[in-house]
Amino acid sequence: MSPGPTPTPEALLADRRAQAALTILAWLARCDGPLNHRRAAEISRIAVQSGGPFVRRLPEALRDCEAIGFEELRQALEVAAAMPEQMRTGLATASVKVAFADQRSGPAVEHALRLIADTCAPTGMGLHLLARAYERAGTRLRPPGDPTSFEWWERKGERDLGEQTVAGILSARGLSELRDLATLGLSPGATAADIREAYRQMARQYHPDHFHSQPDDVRARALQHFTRMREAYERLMPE
Amino acid sequence: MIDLYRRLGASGPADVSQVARAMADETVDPELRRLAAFILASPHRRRIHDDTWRTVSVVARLRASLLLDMSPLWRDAGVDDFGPGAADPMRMRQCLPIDGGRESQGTEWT
Repeated sequence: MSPGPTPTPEALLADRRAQAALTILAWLARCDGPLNHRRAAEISRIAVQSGGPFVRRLPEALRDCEAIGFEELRQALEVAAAMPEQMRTGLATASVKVAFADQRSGPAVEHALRLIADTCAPTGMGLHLLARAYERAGTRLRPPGDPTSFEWWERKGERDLGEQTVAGILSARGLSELRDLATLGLSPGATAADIREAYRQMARQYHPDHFHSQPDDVRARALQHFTRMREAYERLMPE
Repeated sequence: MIDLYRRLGASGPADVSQVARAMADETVDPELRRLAAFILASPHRRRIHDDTWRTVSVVARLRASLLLDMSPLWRDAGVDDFGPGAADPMRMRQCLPIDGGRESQGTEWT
């Protein structure tokens, strides 16, 4: 099979910009949970309108969006910062449209949008650019929500239960159970069979008998670990 | 937004043991324990909080790395717990080649 024609520098640049823009949009679209179909559809619509390189890069952007790493995102933002002004403005507007495609935007999305706006705006103009992008998308710029404030939750109809909640969360089925599950390497929702299996495997690995020829400190650490696991298991699976 | 996990001495949502220890520790600020309990008691609230915590943590690192942590959109967002600390006036936004592309043609994503 013969290699295709060598891409021109312009084509490579366009491809790089398309990749960066789609990486940023895909990250934004799933920063408050898995990518949903409305946001994915909005990214697709934007890609199709934007032309060749975007359409070519679209499948991988949507497929890999859960795995976008810090460095990949940082590089994408650097490429975006160096785009021509019109493209940067377009990216900021597109971001807001993707964020609001499913008629909701939580604080995670709001902080992500603010970062994109600052990346796309000339010095100190992020606020202005973001406000304009919100306007174009038919909505208004708001302060980011604070999910560590009781007032924010109250506005969403969720009330604090005071000390009752603290007691509840410390109950047998609360955090102590989560801690014991974590000791056995399990997640919340693990079944009794999962707990038994995890304990059996870890006990096989850390049983003191396996460490009799090791130095004292290694033996002591293994014993400590084994004891902690056994205690966690006994609390989770009382006779 | 405060960094709930950092204030509880935990490294993040996965550090369940430390969160449990801090929740049971009566020397920890009662208001902080109350807030933590309120958020952690509900899977729905915890999911929203943890998603935001993860995103804000990444945004903070990206902003520091891209020298974007002086912007009013970040400085005034009430997320000081996530920043690298006091703002450093030497970290100028102008260092970024934001006008690297001089031509104004390009794709309009609207």
